[in-house]
Amino acid sequence: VGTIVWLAVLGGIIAGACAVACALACAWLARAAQHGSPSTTTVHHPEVQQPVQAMLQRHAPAPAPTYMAIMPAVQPPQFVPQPPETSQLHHSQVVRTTGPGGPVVLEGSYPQLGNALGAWLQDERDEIERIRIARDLGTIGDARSARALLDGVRTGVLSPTVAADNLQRGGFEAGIAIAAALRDPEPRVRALAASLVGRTTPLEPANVLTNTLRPMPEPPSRRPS
Amino acid sequence: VIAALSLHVVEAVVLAFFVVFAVGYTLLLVRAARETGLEFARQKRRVWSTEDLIRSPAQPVVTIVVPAHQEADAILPTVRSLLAQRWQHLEVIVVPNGCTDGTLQVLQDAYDLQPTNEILDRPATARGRIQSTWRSAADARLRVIETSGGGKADASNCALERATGEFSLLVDADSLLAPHAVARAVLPFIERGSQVAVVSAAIRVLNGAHVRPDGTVQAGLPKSPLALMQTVEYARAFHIGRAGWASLGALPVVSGAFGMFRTSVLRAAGGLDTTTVGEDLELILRLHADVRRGGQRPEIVFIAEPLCWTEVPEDIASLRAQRIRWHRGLVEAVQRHGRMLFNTRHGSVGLMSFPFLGLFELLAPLVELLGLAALTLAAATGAIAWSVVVALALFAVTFGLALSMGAILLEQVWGRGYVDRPRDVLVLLMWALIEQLGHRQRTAAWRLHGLVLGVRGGRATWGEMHHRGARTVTSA
Repeated sequence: VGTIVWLAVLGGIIAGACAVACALACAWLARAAQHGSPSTTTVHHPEVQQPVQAMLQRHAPAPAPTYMAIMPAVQPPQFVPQPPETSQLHHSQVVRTTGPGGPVVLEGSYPQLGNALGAWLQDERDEIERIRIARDLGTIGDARSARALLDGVRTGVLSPTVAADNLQRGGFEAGIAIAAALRDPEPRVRALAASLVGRTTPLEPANVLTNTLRPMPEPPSRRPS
Repeated sequence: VIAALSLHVVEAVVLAFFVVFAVGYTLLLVRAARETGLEFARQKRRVWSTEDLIRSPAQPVVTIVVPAHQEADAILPTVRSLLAQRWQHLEVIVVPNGCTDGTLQVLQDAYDLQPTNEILDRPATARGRIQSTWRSAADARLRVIETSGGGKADASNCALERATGEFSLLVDADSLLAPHAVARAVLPFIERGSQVAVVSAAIRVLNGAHVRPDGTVQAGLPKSPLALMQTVEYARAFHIGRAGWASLGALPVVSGAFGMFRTSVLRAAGGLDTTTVGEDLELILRLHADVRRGGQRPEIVFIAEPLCWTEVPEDIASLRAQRIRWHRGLVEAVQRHGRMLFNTRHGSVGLMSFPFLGLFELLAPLVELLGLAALTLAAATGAIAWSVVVALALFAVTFGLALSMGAILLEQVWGRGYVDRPRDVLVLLMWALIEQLGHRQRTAAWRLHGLVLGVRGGRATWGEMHHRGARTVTSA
């Protein structure tokens, strides 16, 4: 009985002391927050920041001061210029023309071209047209196209090879959409994401690929990885 | 002799239970503290930050699912906070189910809802019928699906059938989110790869908090004693229990108030179970059971940073109904997934967290009350010295107090928490002590009632909480 009592009392004293210590630490943190102490602010370590910055620069799309994208047309001589479809287009230097082969010529300055296409992509409701815009946007390395390109592969409208080429141009930013697509219900999208994840994400590619391959039984996903 | 022997057996069982509880919670506290430290270290080395995701044009679509039953006085602040999320590709689906208090009307007035011509069909197993579908003319991201009832789980399933997001965030209709909550919850999916199936986060008590006009919340201490004691309980549950189990890769439950799921995983699992009142716990156990049976290990991530505020009951009747429902849900989940108990195929969940949940948490109210009665009886009859009873009680109370204050400290390190001024610590310390002396025992009695109801079976129903929210929440 004596041992139990002493052990319990000792345990109680230790626990009580811990409780008081925690309470004091809480009070100190609250006081520090009141006086704007940097106790919970992020500290930038140069040795960590440097490689990250280098990585960001490596993955960033190449800047293009002026860009002109001319998409292959079926019958270029027969193009009939059409007025822009969205209000955003009025404020940019983008001209979209429509011929028998569909919308084919886009020209303008970067980033106006990207902004106009991005706004257009957001407004467009027709699925096929969205994929076309996304493909054009992806060609200039704009990551806004990433989700639509993956949607295109999912629905079978877009070839994974074309999507892969465009997604890769999206670099670091497109990597976010690609990493999220690693567990897409559609095997084609998973395979595409698996083939691109090491090239577009700054994560440890080996870990990501191992994690990706484990739940993927199908060869089309394993092979590109 | 038999009576004395039985008394000693009860004492031995109670002591063994107490030792396992004390050791278990101490280890969980240590693990949770270690994980919090590691998370701060990770934040400094993170390649993709929450801000990167927020700015990214390639961010995935997130659907926020809000089942609502009789939430007319709570729904508007919730929807406002959801639409204020710093996330471009967002879809919010509110499902008023069986509402007779004008929840839909409140939304119509505030967001100019226009009827849509969606197909109203639902799977044959669905319990509620879709009565109408709406889209906001004021904010195209907001959709509303009115159903005839069927419960919270069925309402969530109804929204999930129509969700377009790659990720679905399930939230309660009386919860508010931090502006970066969606981005922070998506980050583990992007960062850790395809294994992550669910992400949950710590939840703070909304009562007593200050809601700013932009929908952001500044935590504060509630005024009501009941809410204050629940504040301590919530801190303990999330910053020790959930964080500790998650650090061991064995998180058995994700709160229904905030859970981000990969939509494809949720759909493959068949959505939420509509026949239980503990659908959040049941779903996570099912994911562990189903996915592991298929050879794939689902990773369930817990973010210790508080991202969600939820209102807790401030009246005894609502609190009692809630605790009975929670424990009943626990009984139902344990009954359904009993095969996971000590099953090595389910890894750390089958060997650690599920046995802890299924044996200790489930039987805790019975053992706690029985132990209290047995010790008092033994001391009264002279079978055990009063000094032993007093010493054990002292240890139990101070140990509980240490756990509570440890949890509040872990909560506080994530920035301005409940403790806004140093003197708030004294208030919390006092209520953490009072919670040990009376409230805990009363809660044990309610949970025991839930245990009995769960074992007896029968159909359980969801009660209604009397909201005092933007109601008790003051605008600052």
